[in-house]
Amino acid sequence: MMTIIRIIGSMRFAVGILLLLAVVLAWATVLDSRYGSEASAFAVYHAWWFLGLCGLLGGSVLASALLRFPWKKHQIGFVVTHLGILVLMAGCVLTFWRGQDGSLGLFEGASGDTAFLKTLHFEVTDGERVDEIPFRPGPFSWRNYADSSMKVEPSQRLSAFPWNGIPSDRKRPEWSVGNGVTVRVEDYVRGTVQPVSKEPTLVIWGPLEKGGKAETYALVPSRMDQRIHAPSGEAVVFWRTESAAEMAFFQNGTPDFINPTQAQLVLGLEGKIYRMPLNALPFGEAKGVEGTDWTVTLSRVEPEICMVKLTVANGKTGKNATLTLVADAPELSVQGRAENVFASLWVPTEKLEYVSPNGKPLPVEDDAERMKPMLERMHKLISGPRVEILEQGGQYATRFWKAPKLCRVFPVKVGKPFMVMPGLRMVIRSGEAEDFPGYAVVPMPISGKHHAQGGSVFVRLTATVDGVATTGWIRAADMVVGGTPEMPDDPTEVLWAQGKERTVKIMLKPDRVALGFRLRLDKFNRRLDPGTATAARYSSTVSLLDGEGNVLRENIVVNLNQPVDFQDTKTGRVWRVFQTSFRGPIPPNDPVFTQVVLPGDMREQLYVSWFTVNDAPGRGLLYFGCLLMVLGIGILYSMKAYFFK
Amino acid sequence: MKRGLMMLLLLLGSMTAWGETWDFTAWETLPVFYQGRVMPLDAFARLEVLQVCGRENPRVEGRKYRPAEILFSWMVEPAKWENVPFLPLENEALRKQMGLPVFDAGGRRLAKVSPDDAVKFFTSETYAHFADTMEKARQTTGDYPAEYREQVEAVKQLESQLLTFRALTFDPRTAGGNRTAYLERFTSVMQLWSMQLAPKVTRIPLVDAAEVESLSQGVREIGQWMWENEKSPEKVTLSLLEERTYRLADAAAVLSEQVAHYAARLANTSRPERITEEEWQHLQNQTRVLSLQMKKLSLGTKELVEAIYQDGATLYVLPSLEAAPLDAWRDESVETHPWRSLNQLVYGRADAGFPAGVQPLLERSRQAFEKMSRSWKEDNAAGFTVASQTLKTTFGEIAKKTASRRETLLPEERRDAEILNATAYPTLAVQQRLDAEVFYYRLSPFLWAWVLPFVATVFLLFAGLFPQSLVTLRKVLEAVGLLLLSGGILFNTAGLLLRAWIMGRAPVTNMFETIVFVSWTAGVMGLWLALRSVLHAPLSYGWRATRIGSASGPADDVDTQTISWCLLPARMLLAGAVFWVLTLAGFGLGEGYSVLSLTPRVAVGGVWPSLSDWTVWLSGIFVLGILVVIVPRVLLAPVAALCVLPKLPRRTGGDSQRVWFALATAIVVFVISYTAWACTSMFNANLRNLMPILRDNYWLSVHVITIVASYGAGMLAWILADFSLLVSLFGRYPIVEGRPSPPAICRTLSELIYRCMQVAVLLLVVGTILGGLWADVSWGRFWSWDRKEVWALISLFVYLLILHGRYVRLLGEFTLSVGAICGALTILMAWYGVNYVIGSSLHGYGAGTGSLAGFLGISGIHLLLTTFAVTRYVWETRRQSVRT
Repeated sequence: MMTIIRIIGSMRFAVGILLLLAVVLAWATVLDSRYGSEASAFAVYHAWWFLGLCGLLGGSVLASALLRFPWKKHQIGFVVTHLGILVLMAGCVLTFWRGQDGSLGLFEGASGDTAFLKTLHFEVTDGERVDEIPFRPGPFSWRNYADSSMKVEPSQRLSAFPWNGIPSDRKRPEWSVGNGVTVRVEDYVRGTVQPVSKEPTLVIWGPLEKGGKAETYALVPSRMDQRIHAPSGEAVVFWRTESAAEMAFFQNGTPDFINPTQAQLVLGLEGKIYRMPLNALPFGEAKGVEGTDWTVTLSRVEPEICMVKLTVANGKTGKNATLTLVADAPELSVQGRAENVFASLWVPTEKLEYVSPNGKPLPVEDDAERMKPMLERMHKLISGPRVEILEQGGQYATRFWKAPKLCRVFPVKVGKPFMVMPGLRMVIRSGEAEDFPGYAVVPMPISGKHHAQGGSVFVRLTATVDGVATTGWIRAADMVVGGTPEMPDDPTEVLWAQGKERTVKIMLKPDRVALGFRLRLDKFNRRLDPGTATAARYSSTVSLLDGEGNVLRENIVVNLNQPVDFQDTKTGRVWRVFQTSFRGPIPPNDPVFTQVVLPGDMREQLYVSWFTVNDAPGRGLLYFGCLLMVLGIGILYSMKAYFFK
Repeated sequence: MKRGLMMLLLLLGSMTAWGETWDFTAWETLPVFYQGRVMPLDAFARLEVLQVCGRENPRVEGRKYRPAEILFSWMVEPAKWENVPFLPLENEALRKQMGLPVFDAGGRRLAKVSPDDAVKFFTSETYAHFADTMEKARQTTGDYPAEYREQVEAVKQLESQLLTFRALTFDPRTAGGNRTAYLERFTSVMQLWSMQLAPKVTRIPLVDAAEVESLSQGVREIGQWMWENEKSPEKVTLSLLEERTYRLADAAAVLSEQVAHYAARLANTSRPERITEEEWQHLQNQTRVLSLQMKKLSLGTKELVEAIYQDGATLYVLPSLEAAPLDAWRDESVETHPWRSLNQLVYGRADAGFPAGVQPLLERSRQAFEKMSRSWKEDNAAGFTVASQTLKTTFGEIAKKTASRRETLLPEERRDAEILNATAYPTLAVQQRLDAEVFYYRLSPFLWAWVLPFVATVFLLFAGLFPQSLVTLRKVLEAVGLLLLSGGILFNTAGLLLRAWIMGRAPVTNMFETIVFVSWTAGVMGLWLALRSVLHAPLSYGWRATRIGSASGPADDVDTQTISWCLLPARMLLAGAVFWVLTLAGFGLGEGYSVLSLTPRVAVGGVWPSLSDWTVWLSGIFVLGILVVIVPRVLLAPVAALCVLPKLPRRTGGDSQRVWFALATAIVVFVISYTAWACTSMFNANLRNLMPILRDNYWLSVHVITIVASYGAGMLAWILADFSLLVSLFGRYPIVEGRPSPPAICRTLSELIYRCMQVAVLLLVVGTILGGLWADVSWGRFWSWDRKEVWALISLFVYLLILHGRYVRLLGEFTLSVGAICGALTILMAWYGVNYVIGSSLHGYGAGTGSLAGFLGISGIHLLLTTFAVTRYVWETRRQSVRT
């Protein structure tokens, strides 16, 4: 025991812990500026290990004082200072442990006796019975951030952040309320709602060096002049098909250039893939496909725009299809969907060079000379790297072509970001997914700046009542401003879970605390700086009421920098009330105004005043500790003792 | 010594030798109302001229103008300036685009354009095309193309300069239909009336139909007239515009009155039988809303009247007799101004809303301004002086005559003494404050606050570098250096005091002021350290002499008892003052709050203080007791020292190392003051009103002063540490007691560093705690892990680490310097980095990456310096031991 005290009380230990704390704190401020104060509190300031470190510092202070017992006269400064630190820390612990900090908003003329805290709880109402489940989701949205912020990928940890703060799928919080109701939180998002379109959308992120901003496009089958272009220049072509065979051909019908100087024709015939160089096909003559009954006849070639027209026929079954293939615009190709015949043309070179094996020259059209520049321009327009996306029955697949080869082919899941190439990322959002009628929940990007702006809290719940599960999104209810007229619940804030013979109502509400007294806002006073629109100052004139609404004291002014203490006479608890902010003036033509201000009241403006109410039981200890610390250092200084020698 | 004094006199002389023939004093000190406060015209002119010309004292065609002078010239002879290049424009690409030469005939770079050039450019096809292209690019990619960004910036700047210039030179007599503000306001009035209010108001039974028609007619009339004359704006004459707008305002006022009357009657009538309660309430509500909107319309027409005479920033010179802007319930959408503009007074309709009694005075002011303008054009300096004085006194007289009327414009419950006070015409005492502001600008104390220390640095450097044999020369140089340094600190003090007086608050409320204050504390502390050998003895005698009943002291020379008894009344008085300030004086708003309460706090609704309240109270009383005893003694010790000074034994022989400390101080003061001066725009040096939470705040002042003083100590320790490291890097290592040790001066330096650090720690602890107390009082949270707080804590930890480490000899003397540098870097981070470095790199506001580079550069250089110094130190000591 003594050894431990000696170690903890040693100067080396103190120096070490100070150094460690300084480094940790510096890192915490970086987190704070990057992800906001809530995240830094979650990750560091309120984390068990950080509190432990602080405890060790306190222990070190205590041990160092104890080790020098009995204290000599010249050590008085040292003892007082260290005692001061301990008292101060004790005060902080007491406030951290028992203290509370809430907000109280009041309309002018209205009163309130409940303060709201920042934390949330679920309120499960089953007939008469009301259960409250505390909900602590952590500082970040759980959903992957890829949709709205380029910086963070779903599985990626936040840089400089020790963990991502998102519970894994298996660890989603779940509670049983006790009367056959369980509540499971599927998702938690802090963000906003955005209207959704019925069409699927494609989100493309710009290259990282340009800030990686996301752009959203409606994903409608593209025509040649309506291609989507990624910020880095790649074209995106999109088409749809009904045929599963075409989807299979899209994914498997890839070229295998042995000699990437020659165009290749890939055929998909009855589910099988055949590849052949275009130059192996004689113009205007049927050529058999090896090992099948199929023949291919090339009937037209347009080298300027890499286009061919061919007829594929089966000698045995008599099936035949005429296909038109444009190498650079597969979305325009005409396929033999009815016959299950597909083909694609791959041209790895700048231009299609076709020499017929039978030596036949290509037929020359009358206006070929005139058309040539136009065709060339068209070719220029459509050539270049492109991303192809094909949809079939809600399934998506994509290919990435960059001459001279096809770089990637893969199926794509809706809502899951995919990387086409480094620096080019996309996600397809299905048009149907709406979280509220007509709206989707979109998380805010993670950063201190955005968290400061707020957004609302959204939660996706699965509530099981008598074995019947209901899933849906709800929005957290706001703090209630005292004096708000009674209104029916906002449908977006309630989840009705249907059981066999009962309906359970679930809401997410801010925690609240009863003050034990009632405050009425008689008048909100705001002064503007003359000649400008800046508020010079503001204050609230309030009255203290008891539970029955009798006025106990009137004309109490709560001013900026001048809080007022109020006591709950029953429990003796003292709340300090601060003027924090205000909303308003709410103009007379605002519906809220006419709801709150009754006729006959000739007021011209209406305000909401926001107070912070706070109970800090450790305040006395804290002040005393501060006094001791300063006093101690003063003594050290004047006695030239300790390190003030 | 003499030379130094002469130089000082010369420097001072050069400041006043400016503008001898033309006397602008009356014009410059004319009170104007701007940015929510009454300021001298000079301050307004500085803000606006800076905005237009990029500098406060522009040099145009070889002549240097004072801000108020050029402003006057712009106002009375705008045509003369049309073709004079004075709008700054350096961007080469833009100059080329405008078809202007980049170099003059002599090959010098041209950096200015004339308003005419700018107008030609902004009305050209080139500009339209350029703006269009850029805007398209911004919409598609989110930003302007990188290669054009600077050019776009330059265009924007030129545009704002031109607009400000146009607003300042706006002449309502010749402006015709070119009135942006007027048209804007007219559109909103027209929309509000024709589309929203007119149909509703007609339906109200009590309203005079003829009035409604006349208002509608007025709106139509102006609208049509403006529209017809869009192509020929000169047809819109001032007299006609005034006539029509005033008529509109009158009609709106009458109607608003009538609707309000009806709404009030409706509110006080009981419900008629034939309609339901719900309908009745709806009707009442609708009428009330309508009456409030009509009031707004009426205010809108008054704004319209104001807009006849101005089109942007302008001079407001006399409190108006308009009620709306003084209303305690005024909301921010009301833009009528509490003062009348100069344009309206001298060019507008004769009455300008003033009673008949002051009309002769108004006429006189008109003539005075006319005469000023004439004298200026005729180059008649004397005439100008007389006329400007007449203008100033006449305005003063008008304000005096109308003051009582102004105060009773509003019904009792809507009056606000504070606003009335803030918008009142300056009394004699306030006028002094305005004069002080003009003096402050003319003195530019913060320029001298770095120039003098810079010169001092040179002198002290020479004093240190000259060989030991030239004792006299060294002494003279040293004395001059010290004097110059003190002069710089004096200027700094004067500047801070002036700022405090002008704004009526402690001068530590923005970045600029804190930087200046750090320089001040560092300077004062450095001087003390440098002159310690001279000052210490008398001060410690003085300190002892203030103690009652002390037996010790230089009893043989001076009777300390007599002194202490003599000082007793003063001490009592001061103790009383401290007691009063801390417990009785009200800070803050309304009744205010006292800093320390004499009785424990009792919550409203409670009877007894809680245990916590008792502890808080006891702590407060204890602090009070200590301060009441200590503060008077601290203040009186120098006085007592002065009394004992003649009797003290004179010290002979100088301090050979003093020059180095003085040099260190001079460098610190120079660097910090220069930073503040050079980055005034970045650190916002303007005298501005504060945000609400910072106003009238005792805690703010005390907390910031303490913290910033500790920063000063930290900065001084830093430069001393730099010195120490440089000396150990380049100096000679003498053999002391058979062992090589760092140069002798290092020992003294580390002693001083140590002293600075002690002060820094003491002040940092107190300052941080005071900050916590402030936060607790203002927000209820002593500590909220804010970045600024955390960095203050980190720097405290670093200093504590060093002090503790040194105490157990974990760290040697040498590492103290390294520690001082580390501590100073954390201070820099807490002070500057949290606002600008972390902020700019992650939030994108503030100073941009340049400052980040600067910050990293400073850290890097010091890291290198430290490494080299340590290497040298280790190498030297090791080498010696190898040899032995």
